[in-house]
Amino acid sequence: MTHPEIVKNIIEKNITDISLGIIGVNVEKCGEQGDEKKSYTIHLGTCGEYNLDLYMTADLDTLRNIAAKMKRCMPADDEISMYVTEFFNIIGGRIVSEINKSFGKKAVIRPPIFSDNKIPQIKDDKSVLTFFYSFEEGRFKIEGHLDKIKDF
Amino acid sequence: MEKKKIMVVDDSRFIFEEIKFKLLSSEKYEAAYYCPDGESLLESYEKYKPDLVTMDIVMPGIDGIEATRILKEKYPDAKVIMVTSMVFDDTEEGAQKAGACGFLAKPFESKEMEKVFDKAFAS
Repeated sequence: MTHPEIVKNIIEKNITDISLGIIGVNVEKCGEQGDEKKSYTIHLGTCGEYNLDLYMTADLDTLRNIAAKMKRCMPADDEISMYVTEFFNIIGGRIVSEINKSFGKKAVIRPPIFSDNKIPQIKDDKSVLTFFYSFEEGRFKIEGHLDKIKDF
Repeated sequence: MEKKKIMVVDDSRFIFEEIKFKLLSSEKYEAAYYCPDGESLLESYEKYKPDLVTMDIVMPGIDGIEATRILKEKYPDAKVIMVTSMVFDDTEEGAQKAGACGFLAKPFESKEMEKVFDKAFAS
């Protein structure tokens, strides 16, 4: 298996496994879909022997539904960011841990940041991996910007 | 029998809620106290004297490993379980060196969590 495939598999496996573990839902891969709704982004960076920026993007309804599953009841609007940042924090931590183990590298995640900013444009020295997932109550996108995969 | 009181240290209140929920049917443990960061841990520990502390690793400010080291310096008998999504790493080794007596990977099930708590009190 090539390095890009290994990283892709690690990300995909952890999105589905950890989503099931945290919110009890089987999220499924889906295609990109144009969306008129305003979206929010959670950014998880790393520091260490490689640079990986993970971004999760979704509309407010999806994020509210994820938070509701975590809280086990409907959250207040000002609680949503706390739940979904932790949701993505756990997924990201597992992804980075598994990349560390697979490639013998050391990196740690930084605390996640929730905002209504768009995902920044990919830089020339980075590779990008993009994933779209859906479940009954919404859909989200996960994007990874990382050091050129060949450098692994 | 009085339940052992757990203090949850995590910048996300969700983890406190999750541990509290998963211990609802426990006869031995209850999540009694919440502390949002390493900086306020010493003050909270002095105030509440919990039986055990669960400690997140990645937090803004002082990380969980450093917070554990600081806590154990002042309270050598404090029981600390690291709770983190950074598994497959040498974080477990770093946590042990800081004085933690257990390690729990997020997300976790009730039985798995109680097993780690049981082991901490048995040691």
